[in-house]
Amino acid sequence: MTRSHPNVLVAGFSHELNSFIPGVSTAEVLAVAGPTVVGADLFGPSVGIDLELHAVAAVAAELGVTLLPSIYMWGGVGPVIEDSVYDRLRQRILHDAQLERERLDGVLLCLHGAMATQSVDDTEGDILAAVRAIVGPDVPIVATFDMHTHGTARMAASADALIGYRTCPHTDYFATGARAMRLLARAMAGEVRPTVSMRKLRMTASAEHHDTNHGPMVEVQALARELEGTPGILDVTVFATQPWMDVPELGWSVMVTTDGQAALGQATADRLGRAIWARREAFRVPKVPLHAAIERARASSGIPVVLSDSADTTTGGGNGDGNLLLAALLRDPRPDDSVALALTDAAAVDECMAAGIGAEVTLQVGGSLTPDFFSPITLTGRVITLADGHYDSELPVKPRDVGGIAVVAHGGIQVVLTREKASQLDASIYRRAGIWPERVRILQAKSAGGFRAAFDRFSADTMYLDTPGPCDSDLTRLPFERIDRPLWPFDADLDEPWAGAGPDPA
Amino acid sequence: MRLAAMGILHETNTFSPNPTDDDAFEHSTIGGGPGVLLGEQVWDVYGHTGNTVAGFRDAASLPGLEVVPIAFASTHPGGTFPAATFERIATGQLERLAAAGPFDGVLLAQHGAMVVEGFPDADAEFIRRVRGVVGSSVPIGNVMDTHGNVSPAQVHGADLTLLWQTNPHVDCRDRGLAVARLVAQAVRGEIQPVQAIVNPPLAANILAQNTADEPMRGLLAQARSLIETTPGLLDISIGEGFPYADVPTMGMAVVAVADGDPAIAQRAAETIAGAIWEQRHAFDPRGVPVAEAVLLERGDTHGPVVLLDVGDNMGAGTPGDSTFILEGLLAARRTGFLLTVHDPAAVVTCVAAGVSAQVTLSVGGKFDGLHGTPQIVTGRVRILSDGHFQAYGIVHGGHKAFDGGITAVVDTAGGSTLVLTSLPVMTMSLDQHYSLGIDPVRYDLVVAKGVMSPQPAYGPIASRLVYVDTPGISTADPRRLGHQHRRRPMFPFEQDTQWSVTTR
Repeated sequence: MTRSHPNVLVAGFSHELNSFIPGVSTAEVLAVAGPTVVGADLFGPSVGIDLELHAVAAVAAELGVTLLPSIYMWGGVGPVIEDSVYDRLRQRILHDAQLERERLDGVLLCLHGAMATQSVDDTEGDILAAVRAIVGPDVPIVATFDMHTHGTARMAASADALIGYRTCPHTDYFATGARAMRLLARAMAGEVRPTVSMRKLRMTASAEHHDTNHGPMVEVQALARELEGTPGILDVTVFATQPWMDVPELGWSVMVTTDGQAALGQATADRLGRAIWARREAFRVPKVPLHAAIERARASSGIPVVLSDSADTTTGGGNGDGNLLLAALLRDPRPDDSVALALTDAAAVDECMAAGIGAEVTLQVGGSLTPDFFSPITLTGRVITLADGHYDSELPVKPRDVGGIAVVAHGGIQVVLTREKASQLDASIYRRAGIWPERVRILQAKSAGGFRAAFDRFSADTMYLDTPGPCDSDLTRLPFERIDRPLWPFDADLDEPWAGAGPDPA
Repeated sequence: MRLAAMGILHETNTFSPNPTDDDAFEHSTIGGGPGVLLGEQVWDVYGHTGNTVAGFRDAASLPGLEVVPIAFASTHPGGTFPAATFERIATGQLERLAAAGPFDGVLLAQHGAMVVEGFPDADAEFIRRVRGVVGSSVPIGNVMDTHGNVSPAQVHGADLTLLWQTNPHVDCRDRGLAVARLVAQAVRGEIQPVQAIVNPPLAANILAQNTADEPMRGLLAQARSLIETTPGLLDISIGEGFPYADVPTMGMAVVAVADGDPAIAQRAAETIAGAIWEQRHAFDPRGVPVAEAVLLERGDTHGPVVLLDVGDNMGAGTPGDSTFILEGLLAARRTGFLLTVHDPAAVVTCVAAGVSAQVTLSVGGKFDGLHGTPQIVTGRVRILSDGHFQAYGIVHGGHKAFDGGITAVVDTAGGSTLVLTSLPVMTMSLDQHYSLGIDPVRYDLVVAKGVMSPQPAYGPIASRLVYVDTPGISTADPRRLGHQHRRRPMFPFEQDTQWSVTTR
């Protein structure tokens, strides 16, 4: 097994389920979000730059590892994946694994950990188990994951190591890929025998406080790093889970990879699990009612004031058509309003393009894609900017295309209409639309926390709006049906982090 | 104490074939709307800018002062006014002044390089008419541009004359407030202002007019030091002159204001004028030839190389559609440049084609046959904008609201970006680009049409600012312009011109 140039199969897929938006993620829908690539293109620029796969390639080159790239799909966030899409991906990966089985020394899968299909809740556990069945118990399998993974027992049982992001907003794609590849190389060389210990918590929390720069996650990650210093422990990963997926195994988990020391791994996972559980109340999100937030922003001495419409997080599954902030502003506009907010509405963009630059328009905007939560409202204004949809985002650095942009100004309220939903992890959609976000008073971010890395650099104040939506931070307001109970905060009085754990120490 | 605030502020390039007529005042690209403002409109549009007029408004908060906005007219630089345009604006202002009076003093915001058919020194004519309304006993304080063509008639038509003393102009508001303070002191009898002006026969090349660089930097320091050390000397202003006006008053000037003693003012003006004359050769530098400039590389620096199109200096009244640099860039097959052109016809083509459409355009060189020939460019329409933008930060002249008219951004097949505007909006704020979704820092080369006016905005992002020696009606070398009405002899036209403060 210790070949001088070991062979590693590389494959993966990334999609994040949001169960509260209608529809199915078909191949066509997914193609808008990102590419599916095969062969050497896995390591090229079409998926992005400096991501996990790029790190895998870089480290493999450094260590003399030969990579056998199979297939990778980047699908963004949305409703359940159409079964046939996953079937094709799965078949391709398993076919390549079967084909290369004789010469394989390791497997590296780059996954997200929150992809579900119409009939498979845990695609990642499924693919890991299926690959394991082909390569057998002696070929190490290492997988990378997003922090928003709903860690499952099947994932833990099927892989030799589960390596997750440590940052939110996620900025450590490359570091995660590099760590995984180095660990796999050590395992292939026989230097370590990685094994995963897992602890599942009866707890979930909205994404706002997954932020590793502020709030309770700072301490959680610090403790994880501290525990990682223990001899025998190779990696400590906290999966905070995508909160808006209605699947049985929803909930936080801790994955500890040790060098064959399962008991140490379990004790470590349990210790970190209890520490997270003890902080659970700190993960609740303080939300500000719309009217109060707008008044506070109008009175602020500094600008811009960022209003997070987190219930419509476009990178958390929201369609970006939530128009409640706009509706509140239009009910009571002020002469000195200075507002920028983005809204997904393809038909409205087309109407603006047809009306032409400088035209006065009356449009129905928003609410067309997520009717369970929003309905269209009337916007009258002037078309001040028309643009194509191409731009580069900053977090991550990535080419984007929202299909077309129109900016309609109603007094000082500038509505950036996009044909496809725009990521608001950073302000690049506004810059692209000709609005320098530093200049406006009220700046909307349809993001549940991820936006802070970029927006905090220039914002004067930040509030989370108390709006409903498919990414509502008050999870108990959403129509979950399939989750395993008990689960905090649905069962607010729950006193054990897992069955048999016993209540919090006094 | 009631002070009237008013003025007609215009920089007239008499070499421009495009008259500053009623249409030009209909829509001021540097005010973002109508150029003729009446009453409270003046405060609404200019009260929060960095302009002279904003300084007048600041003065209203001084104890015991009421400042009444009578009227203010301004628009982007252009050619000579038709007489009717001037008469309409001037008469309107004077009638309002008479109707709103009486006043204890008048605050004027002029430029000093306004030219009207029949009035080569139109600022002096307007001041004369204001005096006619208010009479000889009411102090008139006048603030003009650093590079007005400041004349004895202008200076002696008023009681107090202050010029902006920065170029790029960033002290306009301060000077507005300063003149208001002095007028108030004069009204109260605390000072008796007397003025002197000396005009050395010298036309300063625009490239030598940056007040942060020599020779102006040292001369201004000398003037400041003279004020501080001379009892009774209230102010000295150095006028750089506006070489793009073919009028007898074209050239440099020194204006001094003293309290009571005309000899103090006279001596101060002569001292500084003498120092200017000593350095006259430093006022005649050269720019970089186009062929050389278009080959400059950004290299591994923090920002783009910014090419300043001296011959198409929109702040000096050019059409903004020069193609000499564009032609050079295309010939050199440069990529990654960002260039702005005033070309309404090309915008119409882009609007008709629509966002994302492929277009082939004939760009620039259309207005007057003096700024190059149209260049054929193919590309893709990336953005269309209504062209309005607000400028933030320090802006030359203190302007705030801009309007470029319908504006199109075209990504060229050669990997560069053209900004095409329908109105002649000056390139002096990065917010122009921001409003179009463009981050100029990402480009290798950025072309700005101006000499001084782009510098406050572009200086901080530029790895290098380059004066490009392009032909045109704002060419750096005044000898190329063919003046008919200037004084003779005059440096640098007559290189051996002799002059001294004592032999005038």
